[in-house]
Amino acid sequence: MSLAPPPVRTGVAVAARGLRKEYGHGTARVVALDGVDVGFAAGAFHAVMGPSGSGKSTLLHCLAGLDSPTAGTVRIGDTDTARLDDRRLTLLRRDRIGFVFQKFNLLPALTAEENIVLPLAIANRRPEATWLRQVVAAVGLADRLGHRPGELSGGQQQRVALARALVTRPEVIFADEPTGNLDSRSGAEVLRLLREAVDTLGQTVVMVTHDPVAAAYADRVVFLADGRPVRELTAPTAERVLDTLAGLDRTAEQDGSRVAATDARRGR
Amino acid sequence: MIRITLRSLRADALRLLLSSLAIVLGVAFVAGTLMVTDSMKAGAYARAGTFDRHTDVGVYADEQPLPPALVDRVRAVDGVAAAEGELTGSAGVVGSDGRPVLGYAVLAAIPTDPALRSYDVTAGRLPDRPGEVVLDAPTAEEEGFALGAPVLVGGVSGAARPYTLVGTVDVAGTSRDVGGPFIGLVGADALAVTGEQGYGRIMVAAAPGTSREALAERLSGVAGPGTTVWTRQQILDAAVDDAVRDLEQFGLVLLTFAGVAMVVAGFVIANTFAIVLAQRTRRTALLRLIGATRGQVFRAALLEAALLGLAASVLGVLAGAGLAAGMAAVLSALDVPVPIGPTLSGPTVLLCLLLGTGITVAAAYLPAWQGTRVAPAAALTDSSVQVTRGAGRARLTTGAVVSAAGVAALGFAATVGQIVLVAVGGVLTFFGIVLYGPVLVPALVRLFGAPVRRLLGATAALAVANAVRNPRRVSATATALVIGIGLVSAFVVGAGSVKVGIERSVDARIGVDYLVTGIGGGLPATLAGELAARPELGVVHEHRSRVADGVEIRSAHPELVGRSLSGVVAGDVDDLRSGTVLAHRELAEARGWAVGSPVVLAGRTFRVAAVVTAGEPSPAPARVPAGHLVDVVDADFAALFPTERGYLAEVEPADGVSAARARAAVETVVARHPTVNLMDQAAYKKMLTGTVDMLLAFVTALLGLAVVIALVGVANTLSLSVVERTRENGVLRAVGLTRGRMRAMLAVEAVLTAMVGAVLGVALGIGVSAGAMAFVAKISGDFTLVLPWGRLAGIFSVAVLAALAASVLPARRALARPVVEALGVE
Repeated sequence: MSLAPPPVRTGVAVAARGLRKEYGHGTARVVALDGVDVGFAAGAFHAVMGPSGSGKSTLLHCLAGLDSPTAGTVRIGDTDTARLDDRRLTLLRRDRIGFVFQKFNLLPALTAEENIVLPLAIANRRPEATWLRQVVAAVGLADRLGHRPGELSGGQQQRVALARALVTRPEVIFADEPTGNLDSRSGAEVLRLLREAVDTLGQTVVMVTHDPVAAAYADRVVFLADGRPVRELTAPTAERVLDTLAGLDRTAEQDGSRVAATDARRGR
Repeated sequence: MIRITLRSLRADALRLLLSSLAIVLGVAFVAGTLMVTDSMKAGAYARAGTFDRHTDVGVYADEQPLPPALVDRVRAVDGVAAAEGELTGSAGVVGSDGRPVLGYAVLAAIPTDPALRSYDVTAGRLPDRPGEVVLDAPTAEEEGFALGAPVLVGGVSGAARPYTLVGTVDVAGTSRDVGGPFIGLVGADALAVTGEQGYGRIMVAAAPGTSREALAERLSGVAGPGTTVWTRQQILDAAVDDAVRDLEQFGLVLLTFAGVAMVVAGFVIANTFAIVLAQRTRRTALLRLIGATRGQVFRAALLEAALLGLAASVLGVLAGAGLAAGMAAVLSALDVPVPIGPTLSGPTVLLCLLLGTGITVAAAYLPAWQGTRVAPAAALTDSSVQVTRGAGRARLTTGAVVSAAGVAALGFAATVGQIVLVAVGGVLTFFGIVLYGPVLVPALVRLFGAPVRRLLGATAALAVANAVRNPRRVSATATALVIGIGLVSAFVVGAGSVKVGIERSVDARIGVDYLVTGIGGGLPATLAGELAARPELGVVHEHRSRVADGVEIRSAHPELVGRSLSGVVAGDVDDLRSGTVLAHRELAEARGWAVGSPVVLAGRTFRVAAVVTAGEPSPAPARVPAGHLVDVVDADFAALFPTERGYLAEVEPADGVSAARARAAVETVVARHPTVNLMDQAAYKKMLTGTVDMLLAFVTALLGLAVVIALVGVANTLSLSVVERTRENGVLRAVGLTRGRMRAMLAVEAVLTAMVGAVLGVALGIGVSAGAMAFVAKISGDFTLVLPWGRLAGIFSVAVLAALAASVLPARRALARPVVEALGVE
């Protein structure tokens, strides 16, 4: 990947303080996030892991301004997202955050290129031609730009989604199980691209995954259990991640009922 | 299977609710119409024969009125207890403000013999002798006339004179209540006021013990040729038939419009089922996978349609009851008499339920057939992959052929001279649009979307992409609008053209300051003379015409006649005076007349002053070839046909007299004649075109429902699409589309769809109207197509604004789901 000189970003890109998220009331109340304090350094690749129902997806949604926390604060750069109304929050997502989802979530009516520049189009901004060419070349889609998502393979669709996330040069890219719907080769390609975005562009990536191999691409892994960060690994390998998870599972089994309740709530 | 159907119906109830609104509205229209006409019919039955409660036999005039002497001869016939002449005609009452009481006034001769009197007296008594009058109670009350006071009544025979008001009667809802006043006079007065030479019929009461049939037979002998004798039963049957025939025609007109609304509702329903079943493909495939046959899922879909249709029809009947009350109110505002309290009859309910259910099932048939043709394996594939089928080649080819045939029919209707071709052409073109829609509609959406894109950027681009992604869907939604808007604009263009035609012919024929017209009849005999006698007035010219010896003889005024002519072939128009005529070219050529020729018209000899051509061809009376026309001066005409009355008089001030003084002079004369109206040229045009406007308003109001139903269809398609695109819309929100712009996106999608429907509809309407106008022009000469751009733009804006409104609910639905939840939807 031969991209333009990386914009140098330092410090903390995203931070949560005392983050709580509860669903329901009274006896039906489920605590998905239970006072999370966590920071994600800029220019690094972070993975968030944990057993089902540990709250990792909820954490991602709250950090990305897709869901509003019950209590606590989230900062993107120096902006406190809790203080933003829906409109400003939407604009913040548009201009400063990139998304990659498990189900690709491209608009079927638009071509690959139109999907890639969608956030810019929504912002009424023209894509810089050179930058767009670089991004498209980086994800290897130069010859697929006129195709609609229905005509692309899963891996290609996810690379379109990745290009869409990169094209606005966001402060942080949130990736929610980006390899979950892909075969291992396509998955590895997407992870390699995320890694390169961090290494050559200084991009910040926060990725939720349950795949230890995927987590091994990250610089740091945050483990969540019962709505709280419980452990961290830096420079992880797949084996170390697997071991750590095994340790968490044992803890989780002790509180199985709660996990089951959470699962039921989330419709899994 | 039935239980599964009921389950899925309940699950989709909300989705189907909006689409069933189309059926609810359509059925409500039908039910309302039937209820109103039923109650009007019941009223007609009840009131038929109101004026013949004591009539045993009637002697009716065929063409010539029955002379008063015949009444005496009838009275002398053996077995006749009483006999009196009766006539109905038009007259006028001068109101308490000195102006004629508004509305067409019915005058009737009221029998003086108690044995034949059949009026419901509300106050006072009926007139017994000349000089006495009764009015209908509402008129007397509105004008504040007290019993015993003088009331000015006048007709075509001369100036109004006072009659003593002796009573008031109730004629509401009868054939003698047409919205204006009712005037009852004794026979002699009625003859005098109307200027009639005799009665319309003679009412006869039989002596006790006399057979009606036998009496009728004897009376036939006495009355002789030119009369018809009817017994009581025949009279009553005819009265009922008359009343009901009119109502049935009226009901048929309303039901035609209701039919249009139902067809549009059918379109909306068909589209809804196509969408819902497409969204349910996976569920259907699952049923097939576990062993349901294709027939079972198909029948289940039809059962669902039947249940939906039935439920909607029930609601429709209930809404119809409300609508009927509203219609009754509107009709009585339009002076159509409606008895209060429309009733809901068993047959009406049954018919409405059958109709609503039948249309729903019929509309759902094809979509159900296609929507249940699902391979079981479809259950296993990714449901997010929606196969959207475009239009097949066969469909497009048929569409092209059908449109071409339709356009050809519209184009050649005039040449061939078949008005039916216009209707056929309109229908064929519409079906061509329907068939070609999946190509045509998306192309137009893109076209209209281009400028919106420039204005709104990505929001509009997304809306365009969303609108055209399913060509059949957007096409079905837009074409439902084409029906209603097409018909409305056809009528708007037609009415606009007719109005301009009227105004042009008024301009060509009338060039004076004031016009005096008869209300619902000819001008009083003495009016022109009275006007001419005023020194303030110069030209006074009464328009009259009469056909004699295959020639239309028209009264003309030397100073005004030039206006109606386009050219002089020979001679000098100024030579028109008593004893000379202007012969029109066609007639002169046909008869070999030249300037100076002596010609005989109606037994008198005239000399041809000039051979001329007419500018605006005035509609020639039947039996006379076009242009077989002569103009004679007023005095000659009056001498030839003293009883022929005109409907219009032109009046101009004398030289040096101010407009105000002249008007005052005309008003002084007109005040004595309650059957005439004074107008200036603009007001006269307005009066003539007012009827066209009223008809147009009526038709537009009735067609409005079809447009409303189609707009419900727009809202419906949009809201079903929003359900389908829940996850996509979640993505858009996630990557930064604000709520406002999400709303704008859906609004643009709705507006573009409606715009395409409106443009196609207006184009079709113009085409149909152009065909009809070309036909009319061929028949009656000069009629040109006039496009009332203002009104067409109005139709267009209404469609666009309504589409904006239609997008509100779907947008609310799209925004109701939190982003995270929407992203998780399958």
